Amino acid sequence: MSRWGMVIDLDKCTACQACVIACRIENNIPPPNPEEAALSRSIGWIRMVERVEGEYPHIKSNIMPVPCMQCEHPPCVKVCPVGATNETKEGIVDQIYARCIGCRYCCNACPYTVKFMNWYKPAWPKEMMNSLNPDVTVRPKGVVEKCVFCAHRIQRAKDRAKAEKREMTPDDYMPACAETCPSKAIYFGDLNDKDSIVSKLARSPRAFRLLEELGTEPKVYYLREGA
Amino acid sequence: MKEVNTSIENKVVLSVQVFLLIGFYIFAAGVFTFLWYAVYRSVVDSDHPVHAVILASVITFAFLILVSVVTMVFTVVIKEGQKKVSENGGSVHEGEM
Amino acid sequence: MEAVKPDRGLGKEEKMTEVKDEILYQPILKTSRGFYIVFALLLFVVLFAAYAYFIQIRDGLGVSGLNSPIFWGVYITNFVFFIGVSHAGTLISAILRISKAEWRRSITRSAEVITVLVLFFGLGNILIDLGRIDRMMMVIRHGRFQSPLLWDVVSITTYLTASAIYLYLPLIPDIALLRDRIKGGFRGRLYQVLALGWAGTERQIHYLEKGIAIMAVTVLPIAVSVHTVVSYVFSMTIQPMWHSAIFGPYFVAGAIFSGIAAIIVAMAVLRRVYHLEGYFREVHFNNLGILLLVMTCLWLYFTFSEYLTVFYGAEPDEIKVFMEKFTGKYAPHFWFMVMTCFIIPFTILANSKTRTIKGTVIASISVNIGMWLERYTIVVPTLMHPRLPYETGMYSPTWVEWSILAGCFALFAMIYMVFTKLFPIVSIWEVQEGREKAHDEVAERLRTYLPL
Repeated sequence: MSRWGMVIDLDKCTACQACVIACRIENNIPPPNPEEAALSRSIGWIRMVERVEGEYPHIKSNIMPVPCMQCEHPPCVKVCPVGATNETKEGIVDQIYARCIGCRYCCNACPYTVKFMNWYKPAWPKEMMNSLNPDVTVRPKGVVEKCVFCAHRIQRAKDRAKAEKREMTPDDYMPACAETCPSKAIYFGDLNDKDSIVSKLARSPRAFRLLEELGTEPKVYYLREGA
Repeated sequence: MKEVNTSIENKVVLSVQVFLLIGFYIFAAGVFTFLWYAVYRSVVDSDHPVHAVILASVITFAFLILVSVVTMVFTVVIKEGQKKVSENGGSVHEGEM
Repeated sequence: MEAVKPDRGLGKEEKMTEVKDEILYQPILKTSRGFYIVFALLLFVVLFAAYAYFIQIRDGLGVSGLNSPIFWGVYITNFVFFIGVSHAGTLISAILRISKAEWRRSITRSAEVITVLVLFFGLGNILIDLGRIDRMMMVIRHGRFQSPLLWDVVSITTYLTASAIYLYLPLIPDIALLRDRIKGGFRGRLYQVLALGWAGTERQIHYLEKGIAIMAVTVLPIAVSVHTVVSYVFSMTIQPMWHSAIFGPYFVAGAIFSGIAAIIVAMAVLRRVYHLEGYFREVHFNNLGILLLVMTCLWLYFTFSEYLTVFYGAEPDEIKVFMEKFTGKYAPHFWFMVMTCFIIPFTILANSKTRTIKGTVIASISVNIGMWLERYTIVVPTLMHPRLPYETGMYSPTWVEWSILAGCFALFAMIYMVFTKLFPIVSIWEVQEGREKAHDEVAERLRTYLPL
């Protein structure tokens, strides 16, 4: 059984935000309109988060892409009253849109704030309606959503492998952000396979995870800058 | 004639009262069903059954007390009331009609 | 003796000397024009709130001021506030009954009605807060008891059932009195059914009193559990200034606090509107005022404990939230809360000269405003400060949220008014029992306390 994990090399990341765009297109995330963005309601399953310390020009800053951490012990799963947020056997923290009642308890419980609510019915400009991804559900209003490591691609990978009369290998499946990153800063793979690239990088001395002291055991690792 | 009318009326009133009591039982049964079905689901899905078992036990205990109290009061008051009605020929109080 | 002033007389009751307690039947027999006018005004507010909710159903929760990361706001505050007020009936009714305090006799009914009604508004606000209220049966079909929200569901259901029973049982003899007075029509039949054939026989009285006694004891732990699990919704997360061990007792104490304040206000209104000066006397307000004084000190103790712990520990994520409340954007709300929850009530209630009916009512209104603000300042500032450095804005509730809050108060008042038209708001048989039997019972008890 695989356990999907991600490693993001912050030395290679140029903060170009190609991953953000790719995620939006792949996962049918509605584009933010100015009023909603001003109210801080934009949805972005992976976001660039900037941390700045000090006063300009003597600042220490870094920018990191932050998707859902896919925790091993997810605080969001604990508090969901109906099990709409749940953990699959392969370690992905999934979201069942058809069951979500929109109570937003999971959004409040997540220490990384990576859950998003559909405050209105998601809308696209007419011209964009043709470019929606048919593999991904368009969410109705009133439900919560978040990054699920493009789990719909797992089914695609399984189908393709079956068509080619072989077993699915971990390389067949990769989320849109990892696939798109121009500097190949995002690695993705099976953490249970001790020889996979993500396992090896996760054991690197440069590896750290966000808010480790909380014990959530995220499956998204970062490699420290400036090594 | 008046006696027959009040006797029918009395039966209607009595049946509504019994219906209220049974309605309460159905509600309590619904609560028990919900609780223990949730326990069953949590065991079958291995989804932290401890919480479900503890809560189901506590709430079942509380509702058993409530059901007992309601049963006790309803049955005694209604039965005594019916006795009084038959004693006084139609009404709960003496000499009224 | 200290605080109890000599009564200023019985008012209108003096005129109704033919039947004792006749004035308690008046609201049921007659309806004044004032009632209809107030009812109509409240109905207007409720209809406007219903329209606001319709807009929310049609367009989505976006019509509120909620955003990311402030996912919860006015509705959850309302939920916690109304569930808190529901502790009114339990405290007065159950604890005073168990401790055999005779002054409870005229006020238990009005308190118990508050409890049963206000729980619906607590529940209602949670449902209003859901993004998909049409899916609320999912909670029944797929409920997970690991989630504190499910603990809420079962606890509040149990409390609602227990309070309804606890309201109904002592109501039976009063309904029997009404059944004997009002024969025909819808109300006559309603009273006939609900009186359960009450004839005041010895056996009926014995079992009824037994049932009430069991309920009084049962309802207390249920009530404590209700607001404890409501607090657990917050304290079981790991968010800064939510994840606090003190939340359980803090919320229960706060609930009893706002509950007593609610009873005082309700009693003052009923006293004025239905001329119940003989039943809601200075002594009642004085005693409740003293209880309110005790609770305000307890509130200060818990609040101080909570904030000193956070401040002294100086954990960075918690200090951010703390400073937001102390000196930041929520400082006005926080300090206004301190003023209305402690400074005003304490000043009024600590001095027996100001602990009059007017004084306790002002203190109580102040407390209710303050307690709403307390819930608000617990919910929002924590959410405003996520652990990761996202940009966050303020939370500005919209007209939809305020309308619904106003609608809740208005609908509560309306249903309460309807109740007073159907059932006596003062427990007639308990007052009569007090008049007839209590004196000897108390004298007997007194004799057991002291050597002869």
